Amino acid sequence: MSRALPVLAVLLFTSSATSPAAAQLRTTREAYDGRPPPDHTAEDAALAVPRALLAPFWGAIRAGHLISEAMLAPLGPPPSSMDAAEPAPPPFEVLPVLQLETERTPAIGAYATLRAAPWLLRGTFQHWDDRRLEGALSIQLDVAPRLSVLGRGFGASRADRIFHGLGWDAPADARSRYRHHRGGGALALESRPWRASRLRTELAIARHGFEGVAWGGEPSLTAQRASPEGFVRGVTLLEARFVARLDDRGPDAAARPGGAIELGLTQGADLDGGARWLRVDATSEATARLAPEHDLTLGGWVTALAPTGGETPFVALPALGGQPGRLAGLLAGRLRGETAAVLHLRYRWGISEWADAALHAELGNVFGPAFEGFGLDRQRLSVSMSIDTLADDAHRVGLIVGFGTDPLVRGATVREGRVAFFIGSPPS
Amino acid sequence: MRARGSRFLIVSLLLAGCGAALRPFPDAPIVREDDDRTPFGPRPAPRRSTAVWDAGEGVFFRPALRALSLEGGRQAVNVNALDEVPDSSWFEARRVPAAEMSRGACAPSQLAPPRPWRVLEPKTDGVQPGLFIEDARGRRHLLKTDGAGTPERSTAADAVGAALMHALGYHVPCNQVVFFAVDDLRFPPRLRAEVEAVIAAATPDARGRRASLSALVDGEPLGPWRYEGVWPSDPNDRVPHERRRELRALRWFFAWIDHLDAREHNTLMVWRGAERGHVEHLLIDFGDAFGAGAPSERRRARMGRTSWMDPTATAEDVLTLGLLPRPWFVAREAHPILGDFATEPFDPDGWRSHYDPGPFARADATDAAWAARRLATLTDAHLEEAVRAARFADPSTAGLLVAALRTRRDAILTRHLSGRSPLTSPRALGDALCLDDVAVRAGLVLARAREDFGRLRFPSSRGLAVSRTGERVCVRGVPTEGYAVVDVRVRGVPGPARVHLRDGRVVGLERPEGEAFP
Repeated sequence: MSRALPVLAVLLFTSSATSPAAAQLRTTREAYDGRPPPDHTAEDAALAVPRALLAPFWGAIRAGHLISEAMLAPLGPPPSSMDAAEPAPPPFEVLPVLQLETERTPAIGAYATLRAAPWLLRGTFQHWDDRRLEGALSIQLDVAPRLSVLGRGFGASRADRIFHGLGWDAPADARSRYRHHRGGGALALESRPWRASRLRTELAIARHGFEGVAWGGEPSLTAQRASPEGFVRGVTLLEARFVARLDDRGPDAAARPGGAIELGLTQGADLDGGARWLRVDATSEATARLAPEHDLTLGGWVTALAPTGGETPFVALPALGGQPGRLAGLLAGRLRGETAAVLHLRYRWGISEWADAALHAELGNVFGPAFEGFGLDRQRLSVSMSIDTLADDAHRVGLIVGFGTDPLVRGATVREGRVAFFIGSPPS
Repeated sequence: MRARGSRFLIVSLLLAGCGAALRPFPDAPIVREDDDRTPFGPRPAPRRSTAVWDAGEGVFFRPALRALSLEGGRQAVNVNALDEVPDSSWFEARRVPAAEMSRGACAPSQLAPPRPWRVLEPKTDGVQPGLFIEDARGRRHLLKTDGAGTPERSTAADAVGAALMHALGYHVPCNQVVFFAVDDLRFPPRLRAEVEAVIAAATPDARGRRASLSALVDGEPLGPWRYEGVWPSDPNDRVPHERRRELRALRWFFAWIDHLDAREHNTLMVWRGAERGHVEHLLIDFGDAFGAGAPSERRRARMGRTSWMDPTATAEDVLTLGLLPRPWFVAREAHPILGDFATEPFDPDGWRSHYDPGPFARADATDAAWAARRLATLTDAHLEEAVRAARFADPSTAGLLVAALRTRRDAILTRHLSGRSPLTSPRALGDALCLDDVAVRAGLVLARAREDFGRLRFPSSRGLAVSRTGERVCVRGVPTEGYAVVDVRVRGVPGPARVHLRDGRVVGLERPEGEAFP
């Protein structure tokens, strides 16, 4: 039977006396070579059921396909005779932002970039019902090839902040929640004199307000414990910061062997409470190439805040958690203290043309003034794995999975973990 | 007509009884030209597209939709009875003499545009500075320079890439490498900064400042064409692009010249005509060929060996902590101009563009064999002459590029002329049937090393006498009346060239499968 069908098709074809050469606007193979197609009945029959099962998924993706085409394709430039070919950053981009993180409120939003050399404007907006609303606008003016003026304004309100207490021994299970409102701006001058090295001077001011909120069965900060400094009244922080970084790597420093040292000095004040402080940050890292796309990095970060008047608001204190090099297996802001130190070992390898994976092993903790209470047995261990694209914040996609332990002296028990996925900038 | 139909039915029934499913060809002229240039009007509105959209479609939507549709192995549509692609607004089976290769798609009058060049406006997009200029004859061009730190690379790729793709049959602009002096440029004061940027970016040598010049194509630009589907605004565009053989075969041509940037933005539709006209389809901008588009060492190591999104390889590399041996994890020395194009081991079927534009993933062994036959039309002399268009300062660079093109071409030919018959261009001469062996013509194998076989499959089964003179293979004793099917086979190639004849005339050619396509 299957053999008779093509014969029948040939018969039908010949009886219609259609000449393929005479056919206008051919659409089938038959119109080109004159023969009816081979018999695929059996294959089609076998695929009929799987195709039917997959049809809803196909339909959903096709709908997304058409919608995204309708939204994005018309934004393209008018056609030119030949110069629309090179991949150059488009002058205006709007890209999605998504942040998903365990024990935190998710966020969706958009990241917009407008390039009009020498100006570069960026705006970001993200929210999640009434628990999270954030927006920022930044502007960069390149006044010389390696010299930029940067300005930034921001406002945010998040009800998913967690306070665990202060100091190296802040327990995992005694945490409470609060809402954090903040708004402010910053002005900076940045010079990039050599490779990835930079000098940056910045003046920033921000108003912080807080309120206790219960969240996900966890108590409000105000209900559980004495409020940390500045929580009840809110604070207005004015900070002058200077950062010098010596980095012998190229612009894509993260993907190259080499080394860097960075020193940061911050003079801060709480305009409401009258507190003053001086903070010093020191970072160093060295990366060795094991093989192409396989790097091993050893780095360290030490920071110390010294009050020069009054009690420093808790939001101005050094914090750990939330990012590689700062105990990435813990939530951002998990640990707060006057000083902090972290030793970081990173193994990083390529997993695609545009993404790396990395294993991070970090040892560190926060401590009291002048590293009071510092001890090797008081360090916490964080182990995490990250996947991240080799791109700027507007185009990043990443995943972080990790865990952190109690201090070694407490048995280094794993009590806390963290999973985060993001499109755009990583959760903070 | 009824008598012909009856006879054809009888032939069909008899062929169907021949064990293997022989499908007869009708008594009709071979389709050598596709009439897709029928004038229509008015001119359609231009099509717009963004790079972000194209990347999103190529990386996510197209692969996902293709996987979910379970579309199976659908063959190319625009293939005539001789297993060839008819000429159309997309492709022309041209044969360019070796001596004319270096000028690519340029007419002789377009070479060396007379100076001075009047600067019209700066190029507003793209990463390299450029200028739109008008030469002393009033012809307009786009002048582009090489990238910073990569002298000669991009300009050479643009000119040589266009020349090679032109010779393979595609419609491309006239691209050429030129050397100019600062005094050749005439510009208004308002454009001084842009002109100075171009001058600064143009590599100087004893011949002047180096740039590539692309002649603006005739007609109104209508934007890029899509690699999938058809453009509804063009009534002549009826064959889904992913089923056009010449677009599927681009996968191997782009692999050959390492043109990774198979985005739709490197294509162009042009309106030819006034009130009424038709759409012509071009490939443009080959400045990223020959490994020229690698922005970093890391990406260069991966380019061509893995695509932007390769979920399988990515998952394997994540789970094994990058410990699996991969070609991109091997350090290679890169040539300062040609990168590792001239040194890398080349696997034609393992080559990957940044992302699959649609036709590439659907290409099958028959498309690959067609690509190989087209590629075999370019001899070593063609390659040497084409590379002259690069006008390298150091002749050894040209030698390296020719050698690399030759090696990569031969890798494609070896792979894809060995799976399907390399015999082509069948013609009947009385009771003789002759074909050409493109593998011999390309110098891939020696004629004296060939051993050929001929067999009549229909209406009876018997051996046929075979003779060979160089690339030409002939069998004798072919029936000159009625329907006949003849197999001509070359030892070492699993499948035959199966020629269908009707009353002594060739009406069709098949290349049955010889081995599974990987």
